Amino acid sequence: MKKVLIFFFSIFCGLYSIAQSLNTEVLDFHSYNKSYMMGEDFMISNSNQLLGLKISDYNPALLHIQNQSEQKENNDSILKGNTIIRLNYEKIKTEGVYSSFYGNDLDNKEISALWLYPLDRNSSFLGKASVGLGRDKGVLWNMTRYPSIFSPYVMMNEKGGDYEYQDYNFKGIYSKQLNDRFLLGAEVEYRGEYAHKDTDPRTKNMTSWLSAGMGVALSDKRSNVYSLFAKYTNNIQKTEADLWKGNIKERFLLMRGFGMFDNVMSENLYSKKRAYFVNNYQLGASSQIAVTSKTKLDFGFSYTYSHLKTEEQNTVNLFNLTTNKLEMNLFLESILSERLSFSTFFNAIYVAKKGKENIYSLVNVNPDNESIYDYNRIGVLENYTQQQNVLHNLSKLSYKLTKNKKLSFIAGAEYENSKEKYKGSQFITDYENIQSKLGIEFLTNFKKSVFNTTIFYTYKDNLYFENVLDQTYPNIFDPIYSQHLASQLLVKNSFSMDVNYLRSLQNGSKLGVDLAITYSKGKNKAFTVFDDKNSELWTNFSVYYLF
Amino acid sequence: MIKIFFTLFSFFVSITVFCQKDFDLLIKVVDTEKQAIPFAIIEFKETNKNFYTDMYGNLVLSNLQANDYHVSIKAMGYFDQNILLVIKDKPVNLEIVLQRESIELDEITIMSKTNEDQTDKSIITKSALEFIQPTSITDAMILLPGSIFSEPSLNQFNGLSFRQVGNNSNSMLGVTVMSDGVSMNNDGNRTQLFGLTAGTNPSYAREGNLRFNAGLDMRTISTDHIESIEVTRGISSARIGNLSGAQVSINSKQGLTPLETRVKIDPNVQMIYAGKGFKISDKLGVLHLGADILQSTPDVREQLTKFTRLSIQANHDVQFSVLGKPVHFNSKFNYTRTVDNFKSDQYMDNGDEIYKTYYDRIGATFIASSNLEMRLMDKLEAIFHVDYTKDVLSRTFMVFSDSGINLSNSLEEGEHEAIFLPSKYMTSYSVENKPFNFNFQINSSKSTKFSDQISQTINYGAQLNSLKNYGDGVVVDINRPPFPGDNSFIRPRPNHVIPTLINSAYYLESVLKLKKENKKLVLTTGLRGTNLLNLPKEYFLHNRMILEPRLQAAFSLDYYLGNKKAETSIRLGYGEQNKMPTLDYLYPDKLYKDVEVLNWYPENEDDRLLITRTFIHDMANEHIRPQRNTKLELGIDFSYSGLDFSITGFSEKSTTGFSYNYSYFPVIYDYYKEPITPISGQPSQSDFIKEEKFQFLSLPTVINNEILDKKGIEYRLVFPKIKSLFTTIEVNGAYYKTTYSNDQPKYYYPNSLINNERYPYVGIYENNREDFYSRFNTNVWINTQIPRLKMIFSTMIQALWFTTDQRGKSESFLPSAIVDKFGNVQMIDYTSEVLENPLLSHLDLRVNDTNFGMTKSKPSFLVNFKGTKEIKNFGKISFFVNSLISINSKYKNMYNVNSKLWNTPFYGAEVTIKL
Repeated sequence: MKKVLIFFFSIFCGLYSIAQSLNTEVLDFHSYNKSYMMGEDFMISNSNQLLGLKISDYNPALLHIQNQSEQKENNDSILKGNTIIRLNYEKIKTEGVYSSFYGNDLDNKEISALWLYPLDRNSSFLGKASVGLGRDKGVLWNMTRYPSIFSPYVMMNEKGGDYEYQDYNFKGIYSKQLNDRFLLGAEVEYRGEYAHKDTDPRTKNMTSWLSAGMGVALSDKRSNVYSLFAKYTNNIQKTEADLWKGNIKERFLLMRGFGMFDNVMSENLYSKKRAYFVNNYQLGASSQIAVTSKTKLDFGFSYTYSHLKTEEQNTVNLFNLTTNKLEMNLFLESILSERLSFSTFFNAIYVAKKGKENIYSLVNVNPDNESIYDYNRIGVLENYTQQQNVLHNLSKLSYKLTKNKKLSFIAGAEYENSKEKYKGSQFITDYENIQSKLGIEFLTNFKKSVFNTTIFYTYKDNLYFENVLDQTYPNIFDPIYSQHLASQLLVKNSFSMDVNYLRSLQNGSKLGVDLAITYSKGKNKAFTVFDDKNSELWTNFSVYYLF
Repeated sequence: MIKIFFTLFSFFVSITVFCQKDFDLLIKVVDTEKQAIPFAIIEFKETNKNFYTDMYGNLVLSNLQANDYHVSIKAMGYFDQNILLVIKDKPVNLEIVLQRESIELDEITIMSKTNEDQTDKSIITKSALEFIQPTSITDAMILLPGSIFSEPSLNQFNGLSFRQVGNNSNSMLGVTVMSDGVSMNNDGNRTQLFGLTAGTNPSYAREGNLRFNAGLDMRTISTDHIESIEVTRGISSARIGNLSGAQVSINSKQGLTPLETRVKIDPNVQMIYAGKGFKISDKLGVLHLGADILQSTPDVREQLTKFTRLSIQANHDVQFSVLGKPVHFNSKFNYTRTVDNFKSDQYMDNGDEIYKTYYDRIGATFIASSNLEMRLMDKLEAIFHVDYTKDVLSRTFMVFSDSGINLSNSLEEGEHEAIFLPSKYMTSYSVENKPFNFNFQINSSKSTKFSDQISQTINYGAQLNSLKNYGDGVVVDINRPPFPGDNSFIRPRPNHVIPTLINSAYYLESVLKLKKENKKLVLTTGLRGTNLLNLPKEYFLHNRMILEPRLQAAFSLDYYLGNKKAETSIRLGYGEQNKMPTLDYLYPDKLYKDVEVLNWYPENEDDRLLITRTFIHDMANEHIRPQRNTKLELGIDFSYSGLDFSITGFSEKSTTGFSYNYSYFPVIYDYYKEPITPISGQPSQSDFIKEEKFQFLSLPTVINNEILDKKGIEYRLVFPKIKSLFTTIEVNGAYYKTTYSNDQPKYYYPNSLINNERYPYVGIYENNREDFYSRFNTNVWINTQIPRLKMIFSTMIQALWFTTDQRGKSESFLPSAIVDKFGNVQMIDYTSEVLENPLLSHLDLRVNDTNFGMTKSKPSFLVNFKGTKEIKNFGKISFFVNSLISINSKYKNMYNVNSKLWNTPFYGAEVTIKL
C-alpha cells in the first residue's frame, strides 16, 4: 500500500509543481523528464513515473486494484491508513533569454499531506491536501496566470513585476470493487491559486480548477485490465487590476494572437476586471495486458475537448477558444532475466486550437435616456488556429548488480512541432524541436534505508523555424510574442541529478529527503534581437515523513 | 397593550409551593479514561435548573423530588449527553462518561441548533464553530436561515444586523452582544470631526473602518475564545435589554482542555491560537488560558494596510462553600489589542501618510452563583463586570487645499479675525476614547412544580450599568485642520467632560410550562423597565421608566403518524425592545459654522485681513427618545422521524431610529464688500462698505426620524440522515422585505446665484426618500461525515433567487413649502405658484421615470465547500473554498444595461493540533 501511496503522492505533489514551474500546462508531457525517487519500496511505481504517466494512471477506478495487489504482495492483512507529510522547496533561476510570461526567478514552498485508506476489502480512499507559497519574479507583458491555457487571449500591460501566490489543492479518490471483474472509481479535485502583484497596475489573479471524474475497469481471468474514465474540469481565472497610484490611467491590452490586441476594448482605465471560463471534458481508455507472465503492456488513449470563454466586467464575451487534444501512449515492461528488466514508454500528443472573436457595437439601450449605452454583438471572426504535435519515447534497461543494488540505463527522444496562424493575414509561426535524453539510475538498499540516485543528460535543438509578420495589422510582436517564442526555440544542453535517501525509524515510520538539480545552458538561434544566451538552474528539495 | 400585558403577567407570576417526597442524587462525570471532569454543566430540563460539578466531577443534590427528569450533561470539548433520570424510591448514584469530540464519532454537529423551547433561538456549538473556521462572529452567522454569504473583511468596521436586506447604523446599533451574561457595547465611544461623523465621511478619509453609533465592531472579538454562540433574532428574554434588534450571546471557553494550537491561513488572513485548560489544585480550581494573534490585509495586494489583533483570555472556575451552600465562582479576564495600520505608498509623491488606530480593551467579569434552594429563590447569581477601553486613532498626512481656504477658531458667536490656510501643509490629529464600563447584576430564579402537568420558573433581577468616557476626544492642531473643506467640528471638547451614562434596569419574567398528555404549552411573559439616570432635567428621558413587555408562547402537540412520533408546534411572540441613545446622541458637540465676511488679500502678508462671522448651533435634542422596535413573530414547527421543518414569519418596525438630520437655517450678516477709500497697510472693518447678505446654513440635529420596516419569512428544513451516504441535508433560507425611510420632510437648497444674489428659498418636500429592498434565498447545506475516514465535508449551495431594489415613488419632488431668507415657512402649491414666481422652478426636482424602476437580479448560485480531516487523534487539517462554483446570470438593471454579479473564488486552510 505504501507504494501506491508514494506513487500518488509523487504525482500530485512532485510533478504538479514541476509542471507548473516548467510552464507546460498544455503539454504535460514536459513534466515527465523530472521525477522524485522514493526508494526501493516504491520501485515499480517509480519506474512508471520516471518514464512518464500513462493514461491508466488517471483512472480513479484502478486505485483499489493497485492498493489490493500490493496488500496481497506484502500479505498485509491489517487494514489501516497511511499518511505522508511532505515539505518541499523548489527554485528555478534563469539567466539570459526566458519567457517573460512566466518570469525568470521562481520559488515555491509547499506543505502537503496524502493519506490512503482501505475502507474495507472492496474499496479504497485516497486523499490529498497541500498548501504552497511562492514567488515568480521578472514577469513582463503579462497579467494572466497560466497563459498557455488561455493563450492567445491573454491580458497584458506594459508594466511587469513580481507575482506572489498561495496555492491550495485537495483531492479525493474513491475506488470500489463491485465483483470479481468490475471496479468503479470516482475522484474530485480542487486547486486554487491566489496570485498577486504589488506594483501598479496591482493585479490579483484567482485561478481555480474544479474537476470530477468517474472511472470503470474490467479485469478478465488472465488479470488483463480494461478501463475507461471520463473527467470534467472547470477552470476559472478572474483577474482584477487596479491602479493605486495617482491619476494615471493604464492601458490594458486584450490580446488576440501574434502580439495583436483588440484596439477598441483595450481601454485606458484605473481598474480592469476580466474573467476566463474553461470547460474541459476528457475521455480516456486503457488496457493493461499481461502478454506473458514476464511482460506487461499498457496501452492508453485519451481525447480532451475544452472550451474557453472570456468575459469583461461589462459582461461582454470577446473571445472563445476551442481546443481538441488527442493523446496516445504505450508502456511495455518486461523481465528479461532474473537480473535484467526492460521498460519503454511511447507517447503521442496532438493539440488543435481554434479561436473566435466576437465583434461588438456600442448602442443606446434606453429610449428615455440618450446617454445610456451598452454593447451589442454584431459579428464573429474565426481567425486564430494552432496545431501542436509531440512524440516522445523513453526506455530503461535495469540490471540487478546484487540483491540490494540495481543499475539502470535510460535513453529516449522527443519531437515537437507547433504551427500557429491567423487567417486573413500573413501571420504564421511554425517550428520543430527535437530532444534526446540519456540517463543512469543507481539504487542501493541498506538494512534500514534506501539510497537512490539518477543522472540525466538532455540535448534539445530546433530543427525548423518559420515566422512571418503582417505589419498591416497593428501589433506589438516585439517584445511580447518574440521573446516568449525565443525561449521555446533554444538549443539546450541539460544535466539533471536526483538524490534520494529514505530511512526507517523505530516506530515503523519513515523519513526521507530528496534533492533534485537540473542545470541547463542554452543558445538563442531564432531571434537576433535578444541576448543569445540562456542558462537555467532548477533545484528541488523535499523532506517527507511516512507514518 | 401594556395594561393587558400586566394582567396576563400578574396571573402567571403567582407562585405556589408544595412538597413531595425527596431523595438524594450523586452524579459523577468522567471522561473515557475515567478522569473526573470538573465544572461540567448538568441541566435539569423539567425544572429549568443548572448545576456545576465540583473539582472531582461530582454533583450532589439532596431533596430531589421523585420524578422522571430529562438531564443534559455538557462540558467543553466533549459531546453532550442527554439522559432520562428516574428517581423513585431511593437515592441514586450515577456515573456519566462523556466522549471527547471527534469526527471519528458520529455525533458531531456542524449546523446551528435550535433551542427546544424557543426555536427562534439558534445555538452555534463549538464543533460548528471549529468547522466554520470563523475569523469574526459575522462569519458564523452564515449558519442561520436568511443569511447570505459575503466575503469576510477585517479591514472595515464589521457590524451585525439580522433579518434585513442591507444594513444601516441603527440596525447594527440595535444588536446587542452579550459575553457570559454581560453586554459588550461601545455606546460610550464618540467623536465629532469632519471626516468621522456620520454623513461627513468623504471618500478620501480613511476612517471608514471606524464607526460610531453603529454597535459593536465584531473585529474586536476573537472567535478563538468562544465555546458557543446563541442568537435570538426574535423576541429576547426580559433579562436582556438595551437592544432593538437581535441578541447574540457568547459563551466563553472554560474548563479542562488539552493544549490546542490552531493556525489558519488564507490570502488575506493569517492567524495563530493556543489555548489550554488546566487544574491548578483541588482547592484553587481550573484555569483556561488562551491567546491568539490575527493579522489581516484588506486586499492581498495591499501590504501597507494591516489589521492586527492580539487577544488573551483567562477564565477561572472554582467552587467553594458559603454557609453550607456550594458557590460556583467564575472569574474571567480579557485583554484585546487591535492595531489598524496604514502607511501610504500610492501617495508617496504627495506626502507620507501614516494612519494607525489602537484599540486596547481590558475587562474582568466575576460571576458568583449558588443554588440556594430557598423559598423565594432557587438560584442566585451576582455578576460584576468592569472594562476599560483605550481607543486611539492617530493620523498624519499632507493636506492640499485650494488657495483661499480660511480658518476661524473662535468659540463665540460674532465677527472674529481668522487666518488664511497655506495651500499645502502636513497635519496630525488624534481621536481618543477611553470608555470605562461598569456593570452589576443580580439575577435570581425560582422554579416551582405545581403538579406533573404544570411548572413555572420565575426569573427576576436588577441591573446597573455605568459608562464614562475618560478620553481626550479629538486632539487636533486647530490652525492646521485635517479637513479644511468643512471646518464645522474643529473646536471639539474632550470626551471626559461629558457626563456619565448610567442606566438601571429591572426585569421580571415567568416561564410557565403546561403539559397534559400529548400537549405542551410554554408561555414566557416578561416585563422590563429601563431608566436612564444622570440625565439633565430637560431631557425627555430624565426619570422616565421605559417599559418593554415581552411575550412568547409555544404550543406543541405530539402524535403518531403511522408508527412514528410526530410533533407540531405553533409559536407566537410579541415584544417591544428599546435601544437607548448613545453618549454621542445624548451629548453631541456644538457646531461652529464660520461665514467669511471680509477677505482683504494684498501681496504684503502683514496687511492681509480675514474676518469671519461665527454661528453656533446646538445639535443636542432634549426630546430624544430610545430607538424602539416592535416585533411580532409567528412560527410553526414540525418534526417527524428525523425530519424537522420550521417556518417563521416576522414583522418588525422601528420609527424612531437615530440620525443627524440636516436642515437649512437662514442667517443674515454684514458683508464687507469693498474699501470705502484706497487702503494702505492693514485695514479694519470700518474701512469697508457694508452690505447685508444672507446664507442658508445646512446644520444637523440629533433626532429620532429613521424608519426601518422589516418583514419576512424564514424557513428551515432538516432531512433525516442518509446513513448510506453519511450525509445530512439542511435547507434554509428566507424572504426579506426591507424598507428604509425617514419621517422628516426633505429639504433642498439649489445653491445657485440669481443676478449675483444667492437663491432665496429652501424647498421643503413633504415625503422624504424611501427605498425598498427585497431578497429571497435558499441555502442548502450538504454535510457528509465519514467517521471511518475521520472526515467531514460540508457543501453549501446558496441560491439567491432574486434581489430587488427600488426607489419609492412616494418621494416628493415638488416643494409643498418654502423657507425664505428670514426663516418664514410658507406653504405653496408649486404648480400654480411657479407660473407667478419662476424662481421656484429651481426647486423642481422631478426626474426621469427610469430612476424609479426596479432592478431585479436573476437567480445566482454559489457553492462553498469546507472539508476537515482528522489525523490520528492529535490534529486536524481543514480546507475551505468559497465560491467554488458561482453561476451568475446576466440581468438588465433599471437603466436597461446588462449587469452581472462578480464573484471570485477564495480559499484557505487551517491546521489544528491538540496535545
